[in-house]
Amino acid sequence: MLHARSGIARWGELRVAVVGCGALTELFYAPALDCLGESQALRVTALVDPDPARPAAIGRTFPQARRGTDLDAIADAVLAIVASPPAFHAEQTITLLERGLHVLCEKPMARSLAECDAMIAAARRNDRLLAVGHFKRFFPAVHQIRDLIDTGAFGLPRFFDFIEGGKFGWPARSRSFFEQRSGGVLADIGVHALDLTLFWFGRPQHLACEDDAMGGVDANARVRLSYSGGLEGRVAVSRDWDTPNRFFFQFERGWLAWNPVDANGFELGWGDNYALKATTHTMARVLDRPVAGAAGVARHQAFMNQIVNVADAIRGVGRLAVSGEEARKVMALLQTCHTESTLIDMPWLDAAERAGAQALRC
Amino acid sequence: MLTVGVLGASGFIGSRIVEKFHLRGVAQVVPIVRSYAGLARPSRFALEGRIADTLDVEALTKALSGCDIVINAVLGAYYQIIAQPPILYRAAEAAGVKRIVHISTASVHGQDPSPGTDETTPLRDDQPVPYNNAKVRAERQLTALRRRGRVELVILRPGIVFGPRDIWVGEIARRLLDGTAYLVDGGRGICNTAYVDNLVHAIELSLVARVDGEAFLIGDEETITWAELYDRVARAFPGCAPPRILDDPPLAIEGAPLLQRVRSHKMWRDVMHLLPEPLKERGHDHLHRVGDMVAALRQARSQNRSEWVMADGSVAPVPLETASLHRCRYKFPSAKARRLLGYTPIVPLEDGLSRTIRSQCFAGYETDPVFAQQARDSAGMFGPGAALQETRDREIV
Repeated sequence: MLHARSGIARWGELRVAVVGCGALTELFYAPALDCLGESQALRVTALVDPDPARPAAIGRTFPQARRGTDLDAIADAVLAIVASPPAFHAEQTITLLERGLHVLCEKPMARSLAECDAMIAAARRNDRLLAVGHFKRFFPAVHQIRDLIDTGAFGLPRFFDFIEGGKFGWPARSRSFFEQRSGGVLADIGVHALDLTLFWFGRPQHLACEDDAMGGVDANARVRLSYSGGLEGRVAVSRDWDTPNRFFFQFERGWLAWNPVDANGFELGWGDNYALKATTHTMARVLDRPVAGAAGVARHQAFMNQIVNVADAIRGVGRLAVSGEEARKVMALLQTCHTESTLIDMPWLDAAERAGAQALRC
Repeated sequence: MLTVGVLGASGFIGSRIVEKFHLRGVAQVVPIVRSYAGLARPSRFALEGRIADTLDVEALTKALSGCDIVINAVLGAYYQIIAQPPILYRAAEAAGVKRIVHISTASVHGQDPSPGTDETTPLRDDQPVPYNNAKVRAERQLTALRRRGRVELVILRPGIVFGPRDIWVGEIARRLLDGTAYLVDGGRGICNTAYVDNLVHAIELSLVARVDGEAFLIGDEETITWAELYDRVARAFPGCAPPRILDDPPLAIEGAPLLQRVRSHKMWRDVMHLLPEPLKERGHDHLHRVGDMVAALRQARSQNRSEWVMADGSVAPVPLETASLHRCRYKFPSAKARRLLGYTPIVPLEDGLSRTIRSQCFAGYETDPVFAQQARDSAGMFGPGAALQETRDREIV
């Protein structure tokens, strides 16, 4: 079980550079690094963003950090966190690996499998670590669900129906989110859901995908997956509609539902009268009997655990939870989705609009 | 082809305007939104979305450059509704825009208007619903600005605009599903519906119609009561509880909330205008926090009440706006729009409702099995003809 403070005693100072100082850094990486830095575990030494106002803004939290508009501002860091728009991930990551830094690159890892392969090759060539920011892998609920699947406690999974998203509310600081080169909602939040399908169920045998990009990028996408053994499921993501935000699993002898932004809570049931709303706790033992120990970490602690995991791996005291090779698997799935995707049916369009929409995809 | 700027392009009506105009080639569309986040919907298309705060005349002027016509579909707080018209008009003039199509509301006549009400009926800004007054004041300002300005003006007053992504049918469905739906006086009142595509059709006609400085009521052809509307939605969600019938419920009368009053105060707006963007954001943040604290105090006060109450014994006050809507005795006429714009609703009410309910399924709220199956089949997902791609031979490792 990971904790935000695990391994801290073993750390010396870990110097960190942050590349990309947009909303993700402001809302997640900066407070996470600040929190971890307070324990003397690490120090942010460089902040990089093409807009000089952004490192200056983030620099209020890290006054000692060098600020710059390109990677040359990074002098002495050991780890670089690449939190720039996806279009820059590959180029920046490879440059940083070549300079001898370890890299934690945000998701989606890159724009193509070729870029992923180049990033992985650069890490191997330079004997550096490449981690990718699938931070939901650090949610206790995600591991609890996997245990439920692997142990067969509810029998075999029969189907799953994952729907996630809402009207886009992320305080984006540029239009890069909505450019073709960054991908749409499937590359943004869908990559988390698809990564979790791989984590829970392994590789699908078949898939079909549809989305609503009509000359631009998708705001809605659906993927249907089927597996050997008869399991079928659907992943639907939206940055357009308010959705139920619910991952539903039907097993042979019960069901489970999880809100994908809840790190350690879910619902489950196996009878007709009552259902359980459960939260995860660590396993503990008292008088040689199992008891629920400390509460599982919340979302923000899970995010910090991701950084701790990378830092531990750099120190040689653990393995990366999501390496470049691991993240490549979901990128392969994503690439297949994009290659095969067809226009999603929008029941409110009239015939002329449907024809127009179809023409815009050609 | 006309170049049409759409203010509020990320909203329910604005996004449908962008979608319909672009897909049918009605105009060269320029979506204009308040922040980058607002580009999520318009960026499904290869359109150049622009960013502008509609209370910032310079930013708005820049965003409107090259536009022949601007459609104002911004849904704002009351202070924004009132503060925006002079800024919009000045920006439109400066940018060389020829016409503003302003989306107002039939509620300028009240939620329960007197029979015989039409566009000639004088508007009042002392109504008990603050939203109505804000929209009346906005219309008055624009009309006055038009008298001495160069930019033409068309005002549309739709009724209850519903459709995919709306707040009306979506909210009715949500309340029916969670058992909190209610109808005042049995919902016998008339629901003055305007399916969003019918409104967008009226907007399209307004781009080129030979009218100026006129206002038009816009609605659907058919007449439906609120009870019939709820019943129609309920049929799509089997198993949901029927709405409670409230004959004489206590009413909640909305005053202008404190934050709205602070924000609408000229001094606050002047100060905000002078501040650089980060400080401006902080100012708004602090104001929000004050609002949150007041809400938390109110909640704490309500939580101190006795727990010895029946689960469903009391009736919460019903917003006056809702009660008035449910008691509406009159269907607004669209005769003037027919005469001067050539407006005829293009989508029958039943079709509009069907599309709206199916869109709930699209958003992940499964409706009745027939709708759900239709949606799946038509989407090519799960249906018998669904063609799943083999991934075995592809590069999924």
